[in-house]
Amino acid sequence: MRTPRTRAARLAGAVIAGLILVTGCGAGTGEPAATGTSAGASAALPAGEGVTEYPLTLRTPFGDTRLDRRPERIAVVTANTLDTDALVALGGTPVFAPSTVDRNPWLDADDIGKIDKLWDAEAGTEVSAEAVAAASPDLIVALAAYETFDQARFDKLKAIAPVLHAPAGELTWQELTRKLGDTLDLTAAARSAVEAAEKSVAKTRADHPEFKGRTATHVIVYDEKYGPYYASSPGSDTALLFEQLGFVLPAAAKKFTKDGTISDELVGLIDADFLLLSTSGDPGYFVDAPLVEAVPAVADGRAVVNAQDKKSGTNHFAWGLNVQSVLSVPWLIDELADLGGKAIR
Amino acid sequence: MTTVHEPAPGSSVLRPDEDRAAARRVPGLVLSLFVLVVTASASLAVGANELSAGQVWTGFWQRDGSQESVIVWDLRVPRTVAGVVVGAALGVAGASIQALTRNPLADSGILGVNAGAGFAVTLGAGFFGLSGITGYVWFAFVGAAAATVLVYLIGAAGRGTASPVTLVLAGVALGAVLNGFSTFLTLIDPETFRSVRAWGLGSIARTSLDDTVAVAPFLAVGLLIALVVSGSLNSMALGDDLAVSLGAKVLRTRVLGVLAVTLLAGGATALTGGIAFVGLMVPHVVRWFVGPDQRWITVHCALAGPVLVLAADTLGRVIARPGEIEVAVLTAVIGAPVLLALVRRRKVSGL
Repeated sequence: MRTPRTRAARLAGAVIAGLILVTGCGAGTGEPAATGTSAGASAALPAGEGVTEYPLTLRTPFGDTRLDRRPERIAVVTANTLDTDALVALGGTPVFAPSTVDRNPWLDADDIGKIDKLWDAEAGTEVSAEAVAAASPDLIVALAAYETFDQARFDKLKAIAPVLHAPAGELTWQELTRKLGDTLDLTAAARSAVEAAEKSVAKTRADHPEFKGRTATHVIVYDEKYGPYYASSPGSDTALLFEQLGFVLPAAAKKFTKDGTISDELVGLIDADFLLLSTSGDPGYFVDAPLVEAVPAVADGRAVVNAQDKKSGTNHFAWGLNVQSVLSVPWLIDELADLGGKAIR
Repeated sequence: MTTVHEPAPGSSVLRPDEDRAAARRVPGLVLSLFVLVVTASASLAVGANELSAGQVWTGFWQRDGSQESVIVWDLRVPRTVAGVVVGAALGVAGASIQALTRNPLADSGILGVNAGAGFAVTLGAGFFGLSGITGYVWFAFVGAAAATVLVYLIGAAGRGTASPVTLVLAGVALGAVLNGFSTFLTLIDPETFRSVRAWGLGSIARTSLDDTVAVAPFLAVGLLIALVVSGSLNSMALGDDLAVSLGAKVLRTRVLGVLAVTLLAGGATALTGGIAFVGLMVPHVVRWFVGPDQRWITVHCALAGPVLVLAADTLGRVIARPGEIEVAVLTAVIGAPVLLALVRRRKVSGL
């Protein structure tokens, strides 16, 4: 028998589904352990800058571990791709990383190909400690760890290798990149990677003065049963990206801070100068509804549909918004500017 | 707890409290009808968009494509119709299955209806690429029907007639198996089955009038069968042996009863994704007011079921603006306190 889920569980479900819906299938595992350690540190990590001194104590709320020397084999154990992106931006290659990196169009296929082992990742999953141990890492990175990361997990991981940890949402992508850089003796590399990303954001913003002061809304159109979801309420990652381009949030955005579900009767609230509709599945029920067609943005052609990739089923842009990193932000901001340009000319 | 209720099948000799219940039946029917009209009007007048009564009135009478008329006609009318149809179906299905299995905790899910529908929808999404409510309706219906038939066949195996106990056991077991398969399929390939996860959230917010009209004939037939067998179910309440000695055709009654439940609950589940608690609660409440006569229970359930569904749905539209809460979440939330209050105040009328 199916019982109705509670409201809270439904919302949590929607959030996780939000991740999953836009994430595609995350095709299986890569080639296991083809390269190994034969190429040594230089293959996995560029030369150190000689700034960071080892041994280094890695502090976490669950206890400290000690990194005795500069690591060479780095395992990423978080299912989102923030840590992997940051490491790649520093010129490094993990030996062990989540398969979700396949969904990141901002990563080179070559960079992904160099990773020894891609573990099967899905939003919210935790990889087994055994699989981590099999990769024989000398540093375990969990810089955007889910809430499920707890003492027991930490204890299991620290038996394998030192653990670099931060809870998801604690570090901005800039801080995350710098923290990883400091740990790997790549402080300057981290700084320049962050600067490059910030510069590309500033450039895109400068290229599009027409966005300044205009309102923007992002709505994710899920399956008919879930309905539409207001994704750009104040404080959300999407809102942040809008604001970086000079957009402002419409007054109605505040109403969706607690919960993004939109009643069909109130669909008029999504109106904005730039209305971005990211779809997942068949959006026909939504875009053809009379009240949606009556939304000024839709009626005036200022609604832009960002459809999911037909082949993989992934909506890369909507996925990217959930994993904003030093590498994804430059890609996202360009993509967003392209989409915005279709609405605001 | 002084009196033990015994139903009085086909008997005209009623004890005093049953006399009182009998006296309430016809006025109760008028009252139920009135409450239903009030709830249905509220369902048309009240929603997430705070239209004034005047706007709703104009929108209702002038279908001119204005925002008001679109909200009333495209959004509120379809869900109100769906609420009435589905509520009646679930209420009557619950009453029939409780009588049929002589189990006060039974609802249509106990025959595997929801599990069968869910499994069929999962298969449909996985192998035929179905999506959207319209795509699911017939899969869900066929799945619900197939599961119920299978439950009956398993329950009746070797005996010729399924006893209430074997029926319930077979239903629970098959339901568990089908749910297990559905979960397994969705877990191994979350991408393909992502929309299935939403299907089980019982909602009438986007049930189209076309779908409701398409399923309605099945529900009407189910309702008719339920009414026809309700008299025989009175005798069956005494147990199979006594029922036979009273001249009831046990096998025929049971087959028809299961058929009615399949049509009613299968159709309602197909349209909504399954709304729990209506089939469980409504028959109990009704039984306390009208006594144990299954014929009256069936008629009253057909009116009380929609009242609960529409009240829950209307509440769900206004307490979470600018969003909404699915009706299936709220049927239990508003139904359970009513049930508890009645449990405290009144003697429980036995099956």
